Amino acid sequence: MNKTQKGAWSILIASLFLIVFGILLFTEVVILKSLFISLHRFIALLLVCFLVPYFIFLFKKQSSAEVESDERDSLIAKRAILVSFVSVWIMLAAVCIVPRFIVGYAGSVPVWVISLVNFSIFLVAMFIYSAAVLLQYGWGGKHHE
Amino acid sequence: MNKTQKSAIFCLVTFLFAVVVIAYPFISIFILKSWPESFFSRIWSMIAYFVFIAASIIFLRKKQSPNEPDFDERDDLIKKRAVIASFVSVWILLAGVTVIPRFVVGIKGSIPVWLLSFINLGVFLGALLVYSVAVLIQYGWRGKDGEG
Repeated sequence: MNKTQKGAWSILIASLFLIVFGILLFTEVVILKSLFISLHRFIALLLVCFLVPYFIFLFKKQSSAEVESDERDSLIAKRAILVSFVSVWIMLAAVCIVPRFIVGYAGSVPVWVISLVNFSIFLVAMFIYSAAVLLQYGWGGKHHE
Repeated sequence: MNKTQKSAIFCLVTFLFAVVVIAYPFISIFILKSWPESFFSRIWSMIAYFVFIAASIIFLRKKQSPNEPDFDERDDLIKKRAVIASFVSVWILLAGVTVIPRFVVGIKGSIPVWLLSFINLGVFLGALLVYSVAVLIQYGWRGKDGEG
């Protein structure tokens, strides 16, 4: 597994984690109207435990012959960026349309919701980018070893 | 001038044209506080857009020289680099869109739904501008490097 794949795996896991955490937080604040502090502590502990092996995995080479980056990696990353870029436009188009159905034409959207929406778009775009990178490598990376 | 350069110029002109078309009703409604009365002043943007599209199709389809290639590997690379520049610009613009309303209407404030479409259209136009400028910069603006 080379550095591009490792980076893609880490982005995939991080974005997935943040999406799930965001959904959890939304459920607690908006639907249940109470925060589960012990659950948040457990998640923070899990995050700390995850970060140490994550950095070891990211910076340690699996084999001495592992290259930092080559032309194929660059091409794969560029293709993945293109896929992610297209997905951003689809999501931004949805952001223009969906609120009209929820709050109506004359409605308004709180400023904090815009921040949340834009951050969600960023997370989904990163998820799509990393999934596109891994898909091109064949998920396991055996084509690139 | 090859097809990629022509497309980049098309995108650049589209951006400038869209800015004018958007600015006109914006100034009329929000600054002059009156919508234009005459029929022509209401539909000029539609006529201009139609002329612009027709001229663009001719410009994009017609080759300047018979040995002009449609597309080669270098064009592909240039476009990919421009997409990356545009991709980065989208995040910068979206970060701006996230932060600026907080200063304008406050953290507890809200913005109308129709404004979201304008904001996202602005982000799109900004990205389009960055993409076309990035392509043209890589060709050296004048197009002599991109001649086929």
